[in-house]
Amino acid sequence: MADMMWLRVAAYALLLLSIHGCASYSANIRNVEQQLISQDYQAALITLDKLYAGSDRDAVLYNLNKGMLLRMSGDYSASNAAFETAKQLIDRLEAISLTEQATSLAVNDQVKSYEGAVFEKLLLHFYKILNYLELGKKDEARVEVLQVDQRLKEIKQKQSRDDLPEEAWVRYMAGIVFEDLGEWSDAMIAYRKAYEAYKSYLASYKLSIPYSLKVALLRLADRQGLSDELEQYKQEFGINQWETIAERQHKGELVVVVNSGLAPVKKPNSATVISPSSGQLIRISVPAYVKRPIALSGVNYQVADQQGQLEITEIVDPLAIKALEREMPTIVARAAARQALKYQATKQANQQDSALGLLVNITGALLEQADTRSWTTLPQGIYMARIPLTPGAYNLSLHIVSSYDGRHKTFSFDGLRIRAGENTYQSLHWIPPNVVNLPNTPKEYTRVKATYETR
Amino acid sequence: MNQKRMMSLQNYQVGRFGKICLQLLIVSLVLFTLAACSKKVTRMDVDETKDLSGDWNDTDSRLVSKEMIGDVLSRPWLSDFVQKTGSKPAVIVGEIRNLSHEHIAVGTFVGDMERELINSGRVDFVASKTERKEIREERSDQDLHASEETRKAMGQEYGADYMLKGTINTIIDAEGDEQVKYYQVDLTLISLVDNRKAWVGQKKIKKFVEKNKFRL
Repeated sequence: MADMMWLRVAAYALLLLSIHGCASYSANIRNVEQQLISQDYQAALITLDKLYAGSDRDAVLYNLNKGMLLRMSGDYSASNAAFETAKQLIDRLEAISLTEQATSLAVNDQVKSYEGAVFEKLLLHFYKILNYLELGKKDEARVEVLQVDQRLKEIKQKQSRDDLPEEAWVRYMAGIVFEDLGEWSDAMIAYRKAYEAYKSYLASYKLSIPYSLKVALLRLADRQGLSDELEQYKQEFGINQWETIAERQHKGELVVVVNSGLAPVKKPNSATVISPSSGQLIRISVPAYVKRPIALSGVNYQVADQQGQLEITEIVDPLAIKALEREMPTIVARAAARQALKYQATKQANQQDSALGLLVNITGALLEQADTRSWTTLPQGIYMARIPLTPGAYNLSLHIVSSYDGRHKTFSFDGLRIRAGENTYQSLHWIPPNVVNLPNTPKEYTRVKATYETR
Repeated sequence: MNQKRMMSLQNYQVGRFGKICLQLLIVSLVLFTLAACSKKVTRMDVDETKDLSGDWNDTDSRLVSKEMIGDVLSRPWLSDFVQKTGSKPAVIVGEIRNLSHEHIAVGTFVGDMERELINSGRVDFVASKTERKEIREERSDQDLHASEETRKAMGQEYGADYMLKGTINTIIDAEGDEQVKYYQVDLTLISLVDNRKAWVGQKKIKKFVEKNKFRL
């Protein structure tokens, strides 16, 4: 008996050690993130390939991350190819898998194919749109915009959600694409829907309606002759002056998008207890989001003699946290069912032999691992500015006030061509070292396309 | 645990529950191996219809070009033009805008149409904008490097009489796992002389797509 006791203690000690050694998704992906902050995208892609290239159940996640790394490196076509693969896989995964449901009940949630949360599916479309826009393929971007609309309808129908803050930013982007193509009524509808979604955002997460959206609503309502609606917006926003579509006819627009920081990461929240009645080891492990430090405290732009601030248009943190919160009851229910199953298995095995029981118990507990998968290369926040300019070539500089060391960083983009009646798009990814919270010295973060200097 | 004890573990009678677990494990293993079976390739006839995803595919593209070619060659604009001018009309392919929900390769049915129309011998096609650019570069290169007899002069290009333009639109109606997809392809021939529309072709395609609720 005493002999058995020792065995138990030794086994538990072993268990605790090995749990710490287990590499979860969030631990693995840190290797990629370290290369991201030094802007070594090729190395990051190789690391990602090594980690997840062959995995079937992580295929969506792999392609989402790959698409994002490729777009950071400036390869927008390859990025869209990866995103398209992810999108098609997501469509297929929406059917419920019988084998995966069964194995996830016996083992853990990590054996299920990663399907992506609502906000991830929508942002996937957004980045495809942005890639197409930066490639100058506006009709392709429009195709993607229509797909977002389809996706949103599907989500609303299946999940019967009436407020969908995730909708705000993608709808706003859809409006920009339609306006760029001169499709005023579609643009108006998209802007209006974005406005309503931002309002629901405001109620739950305090992200206010971007000023540029307010002006766009006024501009389009005016153009479409919606006088009542125009009056209502004027009252609500307190704006009385804006450039009309006719006034903007001979101008182009520069749309600048800055993706800052990294999305929150899931960490396992685990509890291991010994049941007083049976002496069995019970372990539950569920995921919880951890926010990363804020990457910047502001971005300013300067182009020709115009300067101003980029507005925050999307914050990923609250969307992710809320999505997990919504999913939590199912995760916990599955974990509980799993525990009941494992408890029974251990009990049965114990009746045969106590050593076998112990083996079953420990294996069961060891296998209990939280599913920490999420699209971690997404940014934490998206900032935007829409700058009307007369046709010509311009140099754009973006001044980022880093919240990491308070220093100003300047990124310049030269020779941006502005055409009358058309938008030109330029994006930037900003990932300072502190968001990966690594114990290292500050590194230089230059972008391949941009020059770097310190003020 | 010594080796002897480990060995003896295998000989233990496993309970009923354990048996079920084992069976489940074997079944799922078999299923997984089946799913991971190596690739199988079967050759297909190009005219064979096989709908996999419900998205726009080769069959749709073929149906559109077939309909359009048949229509454009049988309409009076062609004979009218020949009667009036005594020569074949020259057509240029303009922009075919994809306004649908899907990324559609428009080039395939436009290419089909171009081939059929040229081979019918009743219509001439002029190289498109991008093609022309390349040809012009070659011509200016010839100007410098080709011999006098073989050199092709500039300013001898054939101006088109009509431009082919078009759009692809979709309407999607979905409920749960069911979806009705409606495609409409509109092509227009516009006279370059006076902007008159000489011919309008239309092809509609409707599909009912059911998504699987379950998978392996």
